[in-house]
Amino acid sequence: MAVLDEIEAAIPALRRYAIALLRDRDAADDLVQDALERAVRRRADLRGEGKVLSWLFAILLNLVRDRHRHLTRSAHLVPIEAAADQGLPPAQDGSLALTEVHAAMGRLPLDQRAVLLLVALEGRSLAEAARALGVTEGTAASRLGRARAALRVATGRDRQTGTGGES
Amino acid sequence: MSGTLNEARLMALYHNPSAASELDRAIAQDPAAAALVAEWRRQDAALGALYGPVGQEPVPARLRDIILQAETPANLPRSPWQIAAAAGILITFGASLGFGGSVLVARSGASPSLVADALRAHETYVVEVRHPVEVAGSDAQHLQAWLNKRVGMSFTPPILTDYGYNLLGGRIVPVDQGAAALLMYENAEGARITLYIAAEPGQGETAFRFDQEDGVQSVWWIDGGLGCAVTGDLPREALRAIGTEAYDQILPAET
Repeated sequence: MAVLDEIEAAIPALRRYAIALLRDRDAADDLVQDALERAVRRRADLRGEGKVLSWLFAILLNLVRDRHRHLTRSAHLVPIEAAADQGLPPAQDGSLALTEVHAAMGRLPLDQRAVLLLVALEGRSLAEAARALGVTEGTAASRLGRARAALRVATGRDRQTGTGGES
Repeated sequence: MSGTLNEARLMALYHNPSAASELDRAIAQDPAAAALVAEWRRQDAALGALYGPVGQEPVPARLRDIILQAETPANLPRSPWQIAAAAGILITFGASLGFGGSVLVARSGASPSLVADALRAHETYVVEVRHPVEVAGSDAQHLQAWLNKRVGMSFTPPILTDYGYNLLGGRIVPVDQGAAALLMYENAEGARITLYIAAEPGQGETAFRFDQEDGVQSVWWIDGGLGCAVTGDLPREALRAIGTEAYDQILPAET
């Protein structure tokens, strides 16, 4: 019962992550549904407390790997109208233009987006993200580095001497 | 980067909650590292602003239902006797439905499954002598909390004593999309009526509608995401009055 409650409590985070990752709400909710069903079926396998969220992310990402491989290749084809639908606030001084960031995220390969969102949006540690993704920490770090560098370029901040955002 | 601290090392520190003070020391000595971390923070803030609000949305019913179903032992018949009893009732119900059933479905239009499920639940449980309900009406708070959780919606079991019916209690009945609540009431003569309540997400409001089957009549409506049906062996006007009373009490007051 306690595990079920923890799974239930994790649903908003799983949806947030899946929608940001897949950039398609229906596909994301389908994915979360599949992940939840798998988790509920296998909840007896779970050992240890406080690990439910990491375990759920791992289940979800396994499903992504199985089913959404094609998104890695077609990510740049995903339309970005979704950004306008979300009623994005305008960029303020020193912050990044959100529509640019959203568009740049869409151009990232899925595996880079997966690790970036785990650490940046969901606040997982790099080690935790690597475990959920089933890769070594080095691999996760290198994907993360590429993702952040690509975002830096896409938002016009890739200058070697100072990023110009301090003023 | 100036090279004193490579980017990968800096990134590992930045994404390790227990290394916060080490990160602070690192960027205090290295302006390039500080600029990079500042840029990452801006990226994280932008990602949070873009995608964070989804986490505040209500959870879609189809996701919540997975948990509810896993929590619901009522999904499994508990004894061979119950399996046999349920099967018998379903067979007689199915056999008697025949022509009348198709009329019923055609006439209902908007939500035939709601009233069909309500009638079936009524027929199944109203005949129960020993176990008409799972949770007794005497434990009203627990009953309401439990049913709300299982159905995934907020509602109040109405009090119908003005019409002579006392709340016996309630139970969960499995339906296609999760769980519905069945409240059972009984009057001093032992006549029983049921109130069936199921989540009907995305359905607009309806007026009161009537359907009947084998002398049992239902008045049903959809309001505020809840589909409700009062079912009993009662004249239509009595059912309408009880339905109106139930309608007034089920949903939380809006003001």
